[in-house]
Amino acid sequence: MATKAGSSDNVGERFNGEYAVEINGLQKSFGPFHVHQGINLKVRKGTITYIMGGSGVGKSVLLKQIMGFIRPDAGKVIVNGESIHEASMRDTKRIRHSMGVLFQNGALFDSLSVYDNVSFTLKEQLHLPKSELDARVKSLLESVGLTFEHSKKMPAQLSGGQRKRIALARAIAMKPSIMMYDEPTTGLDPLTTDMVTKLIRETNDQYNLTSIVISHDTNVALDVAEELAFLKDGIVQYVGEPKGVFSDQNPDVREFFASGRKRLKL
Amino acid sequence: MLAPVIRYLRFWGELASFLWQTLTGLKMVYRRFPLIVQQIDFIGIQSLTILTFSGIFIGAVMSFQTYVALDLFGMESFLGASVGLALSRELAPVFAGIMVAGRAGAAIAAEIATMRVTEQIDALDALGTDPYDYLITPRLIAGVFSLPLLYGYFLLVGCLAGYFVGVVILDADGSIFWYRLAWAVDINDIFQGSIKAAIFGFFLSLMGCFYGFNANNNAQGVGIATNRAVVITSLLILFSDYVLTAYLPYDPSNLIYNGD
Repeated sequence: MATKAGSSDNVGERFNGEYAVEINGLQKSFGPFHVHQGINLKVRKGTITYIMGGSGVGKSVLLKQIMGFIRPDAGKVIVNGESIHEASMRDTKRIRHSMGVLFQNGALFDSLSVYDNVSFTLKEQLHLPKSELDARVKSLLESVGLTFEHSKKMPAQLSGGQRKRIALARAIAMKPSIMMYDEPTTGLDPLTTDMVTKLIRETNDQYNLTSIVISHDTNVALDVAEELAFLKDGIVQYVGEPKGVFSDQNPDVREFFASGRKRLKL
Repeated sequence: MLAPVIRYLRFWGELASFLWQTLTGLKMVYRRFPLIVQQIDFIGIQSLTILTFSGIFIGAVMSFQTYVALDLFGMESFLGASVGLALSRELAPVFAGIMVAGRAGAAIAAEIATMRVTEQIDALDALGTDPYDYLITPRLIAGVFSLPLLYGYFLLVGCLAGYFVGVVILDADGSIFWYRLAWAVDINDIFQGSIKAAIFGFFLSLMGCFYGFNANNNAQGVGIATNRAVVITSLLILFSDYVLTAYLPYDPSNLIYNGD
């Protein structure tokens, strides 16, 4: 069972069920746009699950519904056994403590140094003394391949890859059990893409996480994902192992993943 | 036909909800003391330069125009009284409010809107920190606290500029300028000017935060939020100035001239 916020700094105490996230019959519309028309998806604990789909299919909206930022019109979102879709504001915040998120561009706080960004949650939630904060920040930076020297820099002084690393260090500071990535490799050069992808894999293993990655990078997904879900027309068209996409009966699934392969061959 | 009414009602509903969420952050305000001090520096201290210049020009032009008019009736001895009353009751709070809205209110809206566009506000939420408590409440408190002090500064600068133009340039009597100013302006005028300034400070922080917080997720959204924050705050200041002037208690009996 997930721990209550504030009872421990290790909010990632594990829920015993098989699935970290269960989504049943999820529907969401924005005015006349029916983004989700009955999403069903179960994310197995400890896996790296990629949620794929073209632009505008509602991948990020799905992530925001899992985080409890957006309420669905109908359907259920269950995170670590708790229904976040109907939770009160207070409970939503508590459930959210078991989740970390890496936003598309890192979403580092511009006015704060790297040190203050990484230690943000530790200061806000745990009120640790300076010496312990320093030790935690050092350890977090090292776990994402950076040194304590980077802590004095401001976000504007960092490269795209470094920003993602710092944002990841900040996200895992409270040891979440579920880590979500919103388009983590979009806009990055191939070398940095490799680095971020490797980091997702390593972080998942090191912290025993369940990782949910929103992406449309088919090649990275086929390489890294243990489970893969494909969204189109408001529903999940495919869910399963990556190797199954090319033999799936649904032509939309085959076409989407084959297009990525074609680009690679060119 | 119904759409504008719905839009209007929605605006007030959203604003009321925003204000309520912000006020609930007040119970934890002691935790945000460093952020409040930081915002007082930004809204208050860093506005001193712009208020120095605007105070000089407003005080100078007020003194010049009033002197010309009073001189026609041989009443230039009332120059200090006119300048002091106009500045303390109306010009200082309104101009301080509008100038700070243009500088700090716009900056608040742009900063928070940029945080919205770059998902920093979502990140705050995701990290378990209430964005209202962290971003909005400190700015609101800083606005309410800073503006009365800025009003006092504007009033001082404006009176000195009025003295300089009236006495040094236009050759009015210096001692009579200060004597009449002290005779006309009493503590109630300063108090009411401060109340107005605090309310204007509340408006400029609230609207800057509100439009920034609800900005659309694109670069254009930042511009629109900034623009609306400044325009609506300026109109609110002018409107509420009239309402406050009309309804705050005012006893001008000290202005009855008995020839001394």
